[in-house]
Amino acid sequence: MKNLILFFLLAFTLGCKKDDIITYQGTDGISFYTNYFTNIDSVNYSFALQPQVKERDTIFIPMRLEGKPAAVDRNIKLRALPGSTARAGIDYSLADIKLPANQLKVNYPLVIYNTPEMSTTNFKLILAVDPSSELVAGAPGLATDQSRNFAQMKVQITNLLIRPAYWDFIEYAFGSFSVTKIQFMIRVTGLNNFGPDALNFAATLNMQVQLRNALAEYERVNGPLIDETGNQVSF
Amino acid sequence: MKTQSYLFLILVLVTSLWSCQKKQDFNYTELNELTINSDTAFSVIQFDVLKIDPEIIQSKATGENFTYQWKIFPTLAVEGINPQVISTSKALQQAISLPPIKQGYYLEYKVTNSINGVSKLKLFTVQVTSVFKDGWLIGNTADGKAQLDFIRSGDYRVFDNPGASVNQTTFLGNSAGSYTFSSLDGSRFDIAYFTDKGNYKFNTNDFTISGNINTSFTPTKDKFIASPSKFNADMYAINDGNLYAASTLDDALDIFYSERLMGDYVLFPKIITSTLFTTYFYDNKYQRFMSLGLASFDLAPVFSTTTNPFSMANTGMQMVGAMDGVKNLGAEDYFFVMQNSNGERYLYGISGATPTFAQKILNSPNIANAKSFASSLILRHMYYAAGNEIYLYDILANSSKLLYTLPTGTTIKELQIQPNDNRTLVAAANKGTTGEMYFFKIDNQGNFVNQSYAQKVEGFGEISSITYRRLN
Repeated sequence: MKNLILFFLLAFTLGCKKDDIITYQGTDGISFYTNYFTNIDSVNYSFALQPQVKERDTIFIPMRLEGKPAAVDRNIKLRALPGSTARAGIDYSLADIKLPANQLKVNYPLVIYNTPEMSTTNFKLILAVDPSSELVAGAPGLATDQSRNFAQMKVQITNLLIRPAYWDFIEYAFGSFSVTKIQFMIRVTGLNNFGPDALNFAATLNMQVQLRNALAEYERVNGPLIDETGNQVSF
Repeated sequence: MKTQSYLFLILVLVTSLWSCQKKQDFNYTELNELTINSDTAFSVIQFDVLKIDPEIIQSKATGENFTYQWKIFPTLAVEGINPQVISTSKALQQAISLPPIKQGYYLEYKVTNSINGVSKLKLFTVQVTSVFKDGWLIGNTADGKAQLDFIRSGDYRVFDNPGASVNQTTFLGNSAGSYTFSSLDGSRFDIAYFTDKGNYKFNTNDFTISGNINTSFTPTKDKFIASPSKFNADMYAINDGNLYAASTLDDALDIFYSERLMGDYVLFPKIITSTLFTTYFYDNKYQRFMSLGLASFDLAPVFSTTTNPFSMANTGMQMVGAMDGVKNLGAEDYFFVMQNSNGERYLYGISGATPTFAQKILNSPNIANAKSFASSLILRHMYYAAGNEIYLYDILANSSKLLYTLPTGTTIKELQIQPNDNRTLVAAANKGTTGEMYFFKIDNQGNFVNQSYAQKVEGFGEISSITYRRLN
């Protein structure tokens, strides 16, 4: 009987033990990420959309830490995955960078080169964190603020006029994409970036009006503007 | 074993009973209950001193000490305005510097017993108003300079061109028009003011510059009107028959108007916000209504499903006057004075997007020369002005009578019903290059009380437009 009572007392005592709060344990990682409004796992870059001719340029790709900040700089190394058509050292170069001490985010500087082949070819580059990187590849997923981590980032590099990745966000104002249309937009506005990071909603609507008026004037002089697929351009 | 089990069960039972035994010693002492007596709703002009001296009645004369706290905060959260303690005295006597906001403030009065820490709370509501709390903005031009004067409701006090005084500037050119509007979150309330040489944006509370307005057009005196859509999400301007728009959905401080919205039209200068999400316009070129949706710059002719009492897609008439009617949420009334090719005039009405009324105006002297109109918001009446004369048109009787004649040489520029009382007809009039404002009180039959004006305010330059500035 005594043992039984002791058993119960011990069980109650153990049952009341306070657990420690579980915290993340593991190797710190680094991921590509985009915010809620640009929730896309790819970047499209065209030298043809730049305001002036460039031999090379740098695309800054946002990355963020998964884990604890550290008091020292930590190395980040990327690599190109199979399926990439862009040529290392010719179309692009990958530098080893560091996540600065006590920082959570860094922009990875992807250097790209305007090669002759880009006038006819759209090169694809699929980036991932290299296994030899001090910060390993972080887990993909959706954060509570609706931003998203990606294990890979797809980059298209060309000197052709291509449909920008942000076009989905402006299609309500400018309609479906065509090369003829965006060339007209660049010519009328003097701009080459029509994405939501460059134009707010009010500016987008105003530009819609500007383009409609310009197109009406163009059509008055030249007749309908027909795009490369045979459709009449409209805004 | 059986005995041990019984013993164990008895032990559990005794323990349970013991644990349920109520053997606690509570020492009850009757609290000194407080009753706070005071009015609960207050209004104060920004920067004036708010005084509240509540009567505090104690249930027991204990001689206890109390501490006091007055804390003020918006009734709905507003970014940048945090709760703050403004006094720790029994009676409040404190200048209120918080800005006027539409939803007003709560003022929490907390009386705490110093001995036992028990507090009594009472909640007051405080409406902070501006010196320019409500009244009329008078756009006028004197000596080649634009002015936006202000007449305060109630005491008719005139503030001479406060926007220029506060910002130590002058407004060049001729006054063209103005409107007031709220930001989407309600935290800002601004005035947009246009001249043919510049555009200005002021805070309505103190007339400080609150941003910029950019236009691709030059506002044309007497051919310009601008106002916001129903929810202030879009701003519209009609200038010489052309429509321009600006979106404020981004809630930016600066407003950028678009180029002329594309289309073949010549709009009458009236912006008709009769429905929640669609704004209407009238095209005098093709004698039809046109519309714009919320956050859309696609100006298009309306498609009419009815011709009774008229077709909004084809009225066959020119619009020569337009008036706001009764404002019901979702479907507001508007009245229009239309003119056919023979010069005969008609009164048309819509409610929301539906034509409701069409009547040829009969038995109405000088109606053919009338240029200013205002609809009664109480009776089925319309006021109209021709030259220096003001007439009352009884819609049901379909006849009009002369109500008042201003001095010879005076021309009435604009008529409006004061929206905050619906019983004041405001007439802006010009005599040469000087402007005058008349305020007529309306009786239950629609006539002017004492057959004359209640107030006349002089001293303006030539008036081009008037705008009512409502309470925040």
